[in-house]
Amino acid sequence: MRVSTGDRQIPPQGLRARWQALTSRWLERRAPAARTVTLSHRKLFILPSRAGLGFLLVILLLWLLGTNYENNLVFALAFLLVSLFAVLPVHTFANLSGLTLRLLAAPPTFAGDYARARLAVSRSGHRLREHIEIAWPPEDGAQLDLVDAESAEVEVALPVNRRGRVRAPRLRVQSRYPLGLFRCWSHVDLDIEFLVYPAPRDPGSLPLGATAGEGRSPERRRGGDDFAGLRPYQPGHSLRHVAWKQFAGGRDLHSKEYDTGADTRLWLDWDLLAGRDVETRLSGLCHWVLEAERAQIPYGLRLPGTSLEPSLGESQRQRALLALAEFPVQGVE
Amino acid sequence: MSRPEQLLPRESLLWIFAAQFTVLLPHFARLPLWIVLGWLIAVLWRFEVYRGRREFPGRLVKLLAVAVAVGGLALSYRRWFALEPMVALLAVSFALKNLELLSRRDAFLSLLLAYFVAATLFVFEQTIPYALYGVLATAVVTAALAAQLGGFSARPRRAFGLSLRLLAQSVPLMLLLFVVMPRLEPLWAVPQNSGGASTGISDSMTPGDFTRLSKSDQPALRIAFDGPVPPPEQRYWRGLVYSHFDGRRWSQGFGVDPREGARVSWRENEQPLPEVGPRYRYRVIQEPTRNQWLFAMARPHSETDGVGETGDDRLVRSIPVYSRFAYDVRSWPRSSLTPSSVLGDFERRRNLQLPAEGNPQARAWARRLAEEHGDGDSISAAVLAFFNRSFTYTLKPPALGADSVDEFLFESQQGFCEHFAGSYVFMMRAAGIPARVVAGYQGGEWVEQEEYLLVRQYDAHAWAEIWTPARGWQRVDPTAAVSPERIRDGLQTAAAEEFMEDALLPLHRISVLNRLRLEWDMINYRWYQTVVSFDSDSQQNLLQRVLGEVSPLRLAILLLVPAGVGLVLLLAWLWWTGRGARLPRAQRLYLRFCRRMARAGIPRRQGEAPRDYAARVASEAPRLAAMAAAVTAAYERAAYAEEPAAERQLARLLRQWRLTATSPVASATATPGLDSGGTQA
Amino acid sequence: MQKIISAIVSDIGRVLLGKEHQVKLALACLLSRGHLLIEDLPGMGKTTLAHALAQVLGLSYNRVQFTSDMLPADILGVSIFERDSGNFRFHEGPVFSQLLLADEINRSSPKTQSALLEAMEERQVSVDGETRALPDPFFVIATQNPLHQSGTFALPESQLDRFLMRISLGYPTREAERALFQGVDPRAELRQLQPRIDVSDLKRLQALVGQVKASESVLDYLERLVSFTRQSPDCTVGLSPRGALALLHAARAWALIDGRSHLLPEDIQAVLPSVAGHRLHSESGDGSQLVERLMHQVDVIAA
Repeated sequence: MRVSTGDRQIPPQGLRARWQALTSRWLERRAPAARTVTLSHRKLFILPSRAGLGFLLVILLLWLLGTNYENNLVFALAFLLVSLFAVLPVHTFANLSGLTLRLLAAPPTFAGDYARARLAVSRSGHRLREHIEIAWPPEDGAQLDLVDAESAEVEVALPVNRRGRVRAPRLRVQSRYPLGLFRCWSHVDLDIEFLVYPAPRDPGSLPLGATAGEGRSPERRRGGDDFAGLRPYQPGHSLRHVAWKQFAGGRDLHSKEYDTGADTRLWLDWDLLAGRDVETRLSGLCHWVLEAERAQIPYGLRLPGTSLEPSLGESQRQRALLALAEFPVQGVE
Repeated sequence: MSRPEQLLPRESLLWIFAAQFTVLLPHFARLPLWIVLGWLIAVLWRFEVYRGRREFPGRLVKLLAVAVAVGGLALSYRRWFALEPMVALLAVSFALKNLELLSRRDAFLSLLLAYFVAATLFVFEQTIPYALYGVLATAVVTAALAAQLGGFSARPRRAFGLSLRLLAQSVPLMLLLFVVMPRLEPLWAVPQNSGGASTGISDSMTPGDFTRLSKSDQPALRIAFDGPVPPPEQRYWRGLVYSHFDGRRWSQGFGVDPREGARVSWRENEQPLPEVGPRYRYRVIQEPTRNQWLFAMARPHSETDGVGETGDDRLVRSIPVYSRFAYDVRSWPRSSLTPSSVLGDFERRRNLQLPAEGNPQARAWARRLAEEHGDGDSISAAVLAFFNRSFTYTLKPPALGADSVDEFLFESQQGFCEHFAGSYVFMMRAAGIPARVVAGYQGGEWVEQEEYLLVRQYDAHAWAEIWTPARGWQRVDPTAAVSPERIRDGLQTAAAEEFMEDALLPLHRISVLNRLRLEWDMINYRWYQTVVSFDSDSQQNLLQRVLGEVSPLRLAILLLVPAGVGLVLLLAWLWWTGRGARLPRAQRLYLRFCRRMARAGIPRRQGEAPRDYAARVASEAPRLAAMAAAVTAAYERAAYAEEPAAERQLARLLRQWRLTATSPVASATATPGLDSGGTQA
Repeated sequence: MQKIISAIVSDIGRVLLGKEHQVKLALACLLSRGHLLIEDLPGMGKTTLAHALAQVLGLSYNRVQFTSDMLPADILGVSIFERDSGNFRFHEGPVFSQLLLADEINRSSPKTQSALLEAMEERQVSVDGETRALPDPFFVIATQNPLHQSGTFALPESQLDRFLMRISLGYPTREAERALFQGVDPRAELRQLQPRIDVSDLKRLQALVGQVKASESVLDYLERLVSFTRQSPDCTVGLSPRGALALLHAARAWALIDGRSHLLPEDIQAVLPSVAGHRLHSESGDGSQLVERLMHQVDVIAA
C-alpha cells in the first residue's frame, strides 16, 4: 500500500523487499494501472492449485494400479484424468480472459474502517463466466458469476488504517473454475485511490460556546442591536423581525438579523485540542464534524493554514473531512 | 480457501455423498455388510451435523470408529495382502472421512479418493457394463468436484453437464495416450482378485460333475483362428488329464498339477517343437476360472508370457486365471510328431494305475478282452462297439453305487461323457493298455460369420487317450461311439429334449434371443480383443500399422500433431465464444487503415475523430495526406451516411493501398484521383 | 439552404468578430429548438449576439434586464382591470417574443427565474388560471454572470438543463480586438443587418434538423459517451436521457449548419462541451474537465 501522505519513501530493504519491488515493477510494465482493465493472456497467470497437485498424485496412483494389474481400463481412467488435467487450464484461463473490470466508485471512508471500491465486471461474448473472486488478499473480497447478465457490480473491501489519500494495492482477480484444480489469477491495478478521513474519536462533547485563540476571528453574537442583514424567513422566527418593507417590494419574507459584535457559532478549532498529538487532534475534530452534522448545528473548521466558514450540509461535511484527511503529517507542532 | 470455519454448504455435501455412493455401489455386493452400514451411518451423521442437530464426533468416538473398523476388517478377511481387504480398507477410510468432512480440502480429498475407488472397480471386472458404469462414476465424481465451487456450478444439471462436457473434450487425448503410452511390466507383485470359487472344469472328476456343467450356458472360451479351422470333430480343447482313479473319483494324480510343482517347461525350446509347420494357429480368450490350466488342442505351443507346456501336452499358466486371459497357440496334430516308442516306466505305471479292488465284473471282462485281442487298438474297438450297441447318452444318468464302473457297464448303461470316458479308461487299464481321462471342452459355436468360436460351459467334455507303441498317445472319444451327434453338432442337438430343461426360462429355444445373445457376445469379444487385452504387443503392431515405422520422431509427431490441432481448436473456441459483437464492415476497414497508419508512426489517439485524425496525418506526414483524406471521406460516407457504394470504395482504397504500399511515393500519387467522393454533400 | 446558413453565420460574424464557433453553436441551439445560456463577464458581446441573431433571422426581439426586485409578472405579463370595458385585460410581458434575451438572469430572485424557466420549458404561460401560448419560434438567450459575484442567485443546478447549451464567448481574439481598436463599430454593423430568412424558412430549417441521418455507428458512439458519464467514478451525476437526446439534437443541427445530411462523430464532439458541460457534475464541481476526459477516453470507433 502506498500512502501519499505517508512516510513510506524509505527504500525497500532485504531480499524479500527487493524481490517484491522487482515483481511489482515487472507487473507495472505488464499490466499498467488503468480505470478499465481487460484481462488478457499478458496479464493472466495460471498454475495448478493444491487440489490439482493431489489430482496428479491420484493419476500417478492409478497408473501404478494399472501397471501392476496390467489393467487397461484403469489405464484408460488414468489417461482420461490426464487429458482432463490438460483440458482444464484452457477453461480456467477462458473463464477470466476477456473479462473487463472497471472502477465505478471508490468513495471516501474513515481510517480503521473498510474502504470499499465498487467495480463493474463484464464479459465479452456469450461464454458464461463463473466463480470469479476479486479481492485484496488476504481479505475475502467478492465472488461473482456472470451467467444471466453480461456484467455485474461488486464491492471489494480493503481495510485502511491511516488517513490521507491511500492508493490501493493491486486487486487480485482469480478463478478456480471449473474443477478447482487450476488457479488462474491476475493482479490488476485499477488506479484506485481512496480518500481516507481520520478515524473519528470522541475528544469530549461539542465545544458549543467555547472559544479558542481569542481574537483570531471576529466573534459575533446574534441578537444584539446592530442590523446585520436579511435571512430567509422560516417559521418560528420572531414576527417582529420580519422585513415587511422588502416583502411589500415583492420579495419573499425575510427576517432581519441583529448581531452584537461577537458570534456564538460553532467553531471546531485545532487549538481546542491543544496538547495532544496531530492524529488524535484530527480524529477528535473528525468526530466533532460528524457530531455537529448529526445535531444539525452549523459549524466551521479551523486548522493551521485552513479555515472553513461555518455552514451545514453535505458539501460542508465533505470539505471539512477532506481538509482533515489531507492535513499534512508533518503539520504544525 | 481451506479455512476450517468455512463450512461446507449443503450442495457440496450432497454431491460428495452422491459421488461416494456411485463409486461404492458396485462394491457393495463384495463388501461385508457392516462396512456398508458404517458408511451409511457416517453419511447420516455428517448430514445431521450440517443440519445442526449433532456435533462432529469427538476424538474418542473417532478413535473408537477406527478401532472398530480395523478389528472388523481383520475379522472379516483374516488376511491383508489381498485385493478385497484393500478395497474394503478404502471403503472404510471413505466412510470415516465423512466424520471429519470439515473444509474444502477435506472435500477435495474425499473426491480424489473416489476416483481411486472407481478405478478399483476395474480390477474386479472389465466387462462393458462395468466400463460404462465406470464412465458414469467418473462423471459423477467430476461433477461433484465442479460443484465444490458452489454458486451456479453447484446446480445439478450445470455440474453434471459441465462434467460431461469436460470429459468429452478429454476423450480424444485419452485415446491417443491409451494407444501411445508405453505399458510397463508390473513393478511389483500385487494381490489378485482371488475371491470366489473356481468355475468350469475342476481338477477332479466324479460322476455328475459334467452334468452340472451342462446346465450352464456361460461362455468359457472364445477362439479365433488365424488360417485353417479344424473340423468340428477335431475341436477338442484339452485342459486337464486325469490319471489317478480311486474307485469313484478321477484326479490328476501326483506330479501333474503345476501347483504341486510338476515339471512345466516355461521357456521356449525346452521341449523340441516339430519341424513341420503347425497346422492351426489361434488365439484363445479364456474367461476367469481361478485355476491355472488353459485349453488348447494337442499338441500345443504358446509364446504368450506366463504360459508353459506340460509333459502331457497341455498348457498351464504361471498364475491362476483371475481375469479374462488371452493366449496365442500353435497346434500340431499328433500324427505329425514322431512318437516315442517307449513309455517311461513312471508314466506307464501312472497310466495303468487302478484301485486295488472293486468293479470285479469289469476287470474280468477286460482280462478276457486282452486275451482275445492282444493289441490296444482292437481292445479299444471292442469296448467302443460294446458302447455303441446298447448304451444311451443322457444328461440324466441314474445314480451309481460303490462299484460305479460295473453298475454303469452292465446295469444302467445310461450315462454322460464322464461315465463313458471313465469306464473306458478303466477297461483299458484293466486290460493293460496305458490310458487316461482328458477333460476340457469339445465343439463350440460360430459367432458372426466364423469370426470366432464361442465355447460355453455346457460344451465341457471328457474323453480318453490311450497309448500304443505304434502311435503313442492317441485320442479316443467313447461318447462318439454312443452319440456321434454330440461330437459333430454339440450337446444341444445330441440331447435336445434334456438340454437346459432346468433353466428358469427356456430362453435357448427362442432363436431371436439366441442371436441377440451371440451378438452381445460378439461385442464383448471385440471389446476384449481391442481394449482389455491391448498390451505392448498389440500396441507395437498398431503403431507399426499407423506409422509404418516406430521411431521417436514419428511417435512425437503422432502425439504432437493431434495435440496441436486440439489446441488450435480450443483457442478457436475461446476466440469464438469470447468475441463481442462483430463490428460493421466499414468500421473494420477503417480500423485496418488506422493500424496501417500506426505502423507508419501516426497512431490514432483514443477519442480522435476521423476528420481530426486525417488532418493530423496530413500535417505530420504530408505524403500520406491524400490517402488519409480519401479513406476518411469514404469511411465517413460508408459508416455515417451509410452508403453501400462508399463501403466498396473504402475496401478498394485499402486494397489499392496495399498494392502500392511497397512504393510509398506511388501511394501518394495514385490516390488523388480517387478522392472524388468529397465530404461536402 | 446551405448558402443561407453560411450567410447568416457570416452576417453575425461581422458583428461579433472572431466568434464563429460560438455563433454556430448559438444557431445550432436555435435550430434544434433549444434555449441558450451564455455565461460570461459583462461586456463580452452577449447582447450583441442575441440582437444580431434576432435581426438576421427576422425574429421579434425583446430584451429584459433582470434585477433583484423583479417579479414574475414583470416578465410574463399582468392582467389589468380596464375601466372602459369593465374587464381584465392581459398585458403581455416581454416573454411574448420570438427571441428573448434574458440578461443577467442570476440577478433576479429564484422565483422570477423559475417563472421564466417554466415558460421556456412549457412554451406557454399560465397567468390567472389562463394558459397562453408563446410565439412559435420561441428562443431564450439567457446570460449569466459567472458565480461568486455579489448579490446574485445562481441558477440551481437542477434547472440548468432547461438550457440546451451553455456557452461562453470569452475574450475576443487578437485580430478582433485590433479591429475594434481600429474603429470597426459593431453597433453600426448591427443596425445594418437585414433579415436573411423569415419565420417559415426558420421552421423549415428546424424541420430539416430532424431529418439529418444518424447512422448506427454514430448512435453507438453517442451511447458509449452517455454510458461513460453514468459509470465513470468521476461523474457524480451522469447524463440524463433528456441530456442524451439534447446532445443528439444539437449535433444534428450542427451537422446541418456544416452542410451535411448525416451525422458525424465530429458533430457530437463539437457540441459536446456546450451541451454536456452544465449537465455533468464531478466531485471537483464543474463538468468541463469531465467533458474533456469524455472526449479522450471514449473512442469514436468501438474496438
